[in-house]
Amino acid sequence: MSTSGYSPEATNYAIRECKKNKSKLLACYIIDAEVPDAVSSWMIYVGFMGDEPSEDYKNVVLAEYKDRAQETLDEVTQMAESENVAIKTFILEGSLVENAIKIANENSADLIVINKPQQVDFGRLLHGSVMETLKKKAPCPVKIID
Amino acid sequence: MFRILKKILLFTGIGIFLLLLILPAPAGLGRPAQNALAVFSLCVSLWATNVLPMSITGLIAIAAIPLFNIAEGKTTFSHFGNSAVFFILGAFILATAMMKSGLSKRLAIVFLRQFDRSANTLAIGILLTSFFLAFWMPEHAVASLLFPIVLEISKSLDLKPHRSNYAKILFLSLAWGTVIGGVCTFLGGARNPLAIGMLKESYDLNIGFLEWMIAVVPVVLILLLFAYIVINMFFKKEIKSIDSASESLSDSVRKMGAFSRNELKVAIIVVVTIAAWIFLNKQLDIAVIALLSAISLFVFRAVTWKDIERYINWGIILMYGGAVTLGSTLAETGAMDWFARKIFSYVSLTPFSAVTVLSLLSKFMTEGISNVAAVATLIPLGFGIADTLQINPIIIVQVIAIQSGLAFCLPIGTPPNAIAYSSGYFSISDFVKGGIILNILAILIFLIIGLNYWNLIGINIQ
Repeated sequence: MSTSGYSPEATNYAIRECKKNKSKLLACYIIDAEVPDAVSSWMIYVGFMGDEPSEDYKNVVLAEYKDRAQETLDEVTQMAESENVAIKTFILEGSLVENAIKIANENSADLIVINKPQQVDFGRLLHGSVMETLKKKAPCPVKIID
Repeated sequence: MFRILKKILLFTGIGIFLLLLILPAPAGLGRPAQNALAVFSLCVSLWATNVLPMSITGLIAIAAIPLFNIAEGKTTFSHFGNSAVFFILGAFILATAMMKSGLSKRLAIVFLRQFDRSANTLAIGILLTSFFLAFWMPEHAVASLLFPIVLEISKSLDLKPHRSNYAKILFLSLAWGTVIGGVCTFLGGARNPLAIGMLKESYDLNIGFLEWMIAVVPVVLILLLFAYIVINMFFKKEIKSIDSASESLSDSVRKMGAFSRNELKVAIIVVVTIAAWIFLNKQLDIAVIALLSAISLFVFRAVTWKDIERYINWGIILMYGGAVTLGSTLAETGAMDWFARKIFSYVSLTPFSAVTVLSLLSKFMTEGISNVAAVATLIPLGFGIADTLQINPIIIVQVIAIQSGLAFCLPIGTPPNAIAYSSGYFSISDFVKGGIILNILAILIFLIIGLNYWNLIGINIQ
């Protein structure tokens, strides 16, 4: 899950897979700071605002993203526990691809389940599909839920 | 895709720059004018791609003009001291005082509270508050000021990102209200004073603060109405009660406390400044009024220099000074006149169709690059076209500055769009579907109603 989107379908699929294979669910919410970073530096270099209003703006956005991440993970924890699936949650900041791979490697994951991002951000416009990169670099299969 | 486009644009600009420097000047275009076109090509590609900070590109323009023997250093540097640059400086200091004292936030919340009666009136309130505040402050400052307020309203109503249509209505109202309001005065977007500064340098013509508002506001109000219709056409609100949002706004008012002495000082200075811009327009240059206002803020201890330093990026002076200097040099050398004559030796255009083409060009450019860069690029070209087709340069300035300010389609079009988009409540496709319609409407409204209205108030196309 990430700031780019969350789908209950992807979560349900992951919980079903964990239940079937008697494995643990690693629920990871990645806060993608690329958009507020880009907008903040844009305010400085294109809007000619100083550091303070740009930082204030960025802090508001990141605080909102963190709240959203916690709410989502609480929801997912409830869903997993109601199905008797063990769950561990993570909130990470940075690149979706790098963090997903890091968690998968550190925990020897068998499968990465991810929903297709609903939001196409600046980074994605510039750097291509996140899904394709994740599929290429992941240490295990990747299931994309549309 | 954008990265490739950016590279193509950059290398094309540099290629044209080098070619124009090397190739002999054709008949009718002197060496200095050809070199001016070369520097123009380089600066346009750098401003459009942001490979270097925009302020540094401004410096490149200033350094390149004497370097390539386009004009003497003394003449070049004198353009830098244009009144538009000092007006922008004063206006930014005034905006800082409004933000720092909390006056702008109080104004926004108090204004917004007048509309917290229903879901519909609250959305209208956000559209009108952002529109109205962008008259008096830079639009990106307005968007970043209103952003946490709208976010708080959305959270209090438990609106879900991507799923709530009402949240989409609120954030699009914030973005588009600010964008539309930003073209109404010289304060909403610094591109308007930049365009007027270039007009003054090239033609010794001026447009006053009130004159601009009289010419623009009535037409823009029609566009604002359409923005409301378009937003509500695409997104049907799913909530009825906004009680929790009203409570959240009341909470914000309570947290702000009583009107402070500092807010009062700033409010008085702002009111006096605006009144002077409107009523003393003939007696005093607007830049002088802006500077006197900035000085008053310090005299009455409403702001400190540290506040100003933290709120303003001084690169603005270099960028605007560079753009005005380059525009003036292009006019003085006759480079753009030659370029426009060359275009019209292949294409036959009436004044109306030329204005239409400039409107479309402004619109396309501003969706992809910063609107200041679009103005800095298109005004010199517009002046060349104006001279060739005998079009009133005031019309050119109004059309380019207004259309360059009205970017509705993409987050990268303008900071208010990007700020609203970063809320994560809506997707780019939500932006694009209404934005395309608003872009088309903006062009049609200004071409059909705007030009006729301007004719009525004495601003004729020729």
